[in-house]
Amino acid sequence: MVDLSDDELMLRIIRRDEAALSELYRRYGNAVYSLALRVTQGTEWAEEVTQDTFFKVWHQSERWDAQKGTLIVWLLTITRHTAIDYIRKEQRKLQVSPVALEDMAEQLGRPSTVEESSWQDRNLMIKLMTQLPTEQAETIRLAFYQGLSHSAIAETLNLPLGTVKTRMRLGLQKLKSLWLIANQHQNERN
Amino acid sequence: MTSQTNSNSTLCEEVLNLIPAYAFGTTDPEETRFVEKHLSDCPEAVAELSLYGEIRDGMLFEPPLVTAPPHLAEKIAQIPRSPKVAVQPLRPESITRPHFNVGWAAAAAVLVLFVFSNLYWFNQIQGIQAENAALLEDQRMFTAMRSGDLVETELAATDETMTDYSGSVLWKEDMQSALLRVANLPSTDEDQEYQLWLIGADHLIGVGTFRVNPDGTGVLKFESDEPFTAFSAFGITLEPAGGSPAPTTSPMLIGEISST
Repeated sequence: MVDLSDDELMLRIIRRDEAALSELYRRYGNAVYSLALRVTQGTEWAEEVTQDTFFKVWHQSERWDAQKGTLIVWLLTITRHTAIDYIRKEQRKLQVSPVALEDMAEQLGRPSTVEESSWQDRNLMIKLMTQLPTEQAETIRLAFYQGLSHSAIAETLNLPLGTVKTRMRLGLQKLKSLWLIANQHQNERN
Repeated sequence: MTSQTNSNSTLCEEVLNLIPAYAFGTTDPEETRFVEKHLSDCPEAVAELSLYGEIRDGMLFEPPLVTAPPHLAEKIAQIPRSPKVAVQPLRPESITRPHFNVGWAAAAAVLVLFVFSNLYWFNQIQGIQAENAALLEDQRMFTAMRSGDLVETELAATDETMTDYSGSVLWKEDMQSALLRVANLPSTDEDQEYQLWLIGADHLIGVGTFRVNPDGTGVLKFESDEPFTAFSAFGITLEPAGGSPAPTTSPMLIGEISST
């Protein structure tokens, strides 16, 4: 089972192979839980979202389409939507915290010691986000992790709507530039 | 021709400016409609959307990686043996009953009026459906409901953090139509609706979607080809607008169906 590719693993899940679901969790459970924790900022909620995510994968596995992207992105996209639905249902006003991500990880859970090379390859975003001005990064995170619109972010941060739109636009433009440069370097190394 | 080209160029520039926010889902509904209407006419914007889509996906990997609690693995392994509906087991002792507060009392009063005032019922249905055939059917339903043996199934929150949410279903064993009312539910986003489900031991049926008023109240008249007693519970979930073929979220309200 451990030798199966992600695509092969999903085919097994579609065929109702229960062991394949456990293998999927072994591979990506920490990633799902970490994202759920980031969105909900609560360990119990993160557990529920993680369960709900794998529940959806099991019962709606036929929706998986290898042509549309990687399995981990599909899985984390489901996680993000599920987690945002949870916090919306609760109408929880999560505190906007200036806490560094590393500190937050310590607060919310033990850093993973699992070797997850795929994660290491993809966590470029951690570095890029630290290069943005704090207020721009904060705006982007509120939009992405809490699913807030410009208006909702303005309300949350008690800022004029125009300020929020500007921060969002400038932040994403800078992120795009950094992303393109990083990928160019990556391609040159390869 | 030139003025048309300039107009299209200006339009595409506007679309392009909205792409970052659109990709991250922060555009207002009007902006979203604008982008979706003109996107296909603006190749540069399509390319930009693809790039921002990659960046958005990259954000999925930003959270620091932490280890999930060990017991979660066992819970995940149990999923294939759990019912298809993400319904928490119907454990009466674990269901949080709504508070009997002033709001609930007022809602209950509205419910009583709703059921027992023929004129009110008539006006409501006329306003909602404005079709004579449907109106006659609803009047028939109302009359039948007044005739006795009416069952009211109370829906209770499945989570202690949702204790304000409440609802009830009025139904009869010999009728295919029933009436749901809810109170204190949060408003949904434009792309979401609440969906009511009939939950059986081995299957479930979505019987209708609805949104709530600004004060959190809502009403849904629904029908079932199968008798309500063929099911064990009513459940409400939050779903994409238009409803889902199967629930995509856990129910927030559940009411156990018991025969009269």
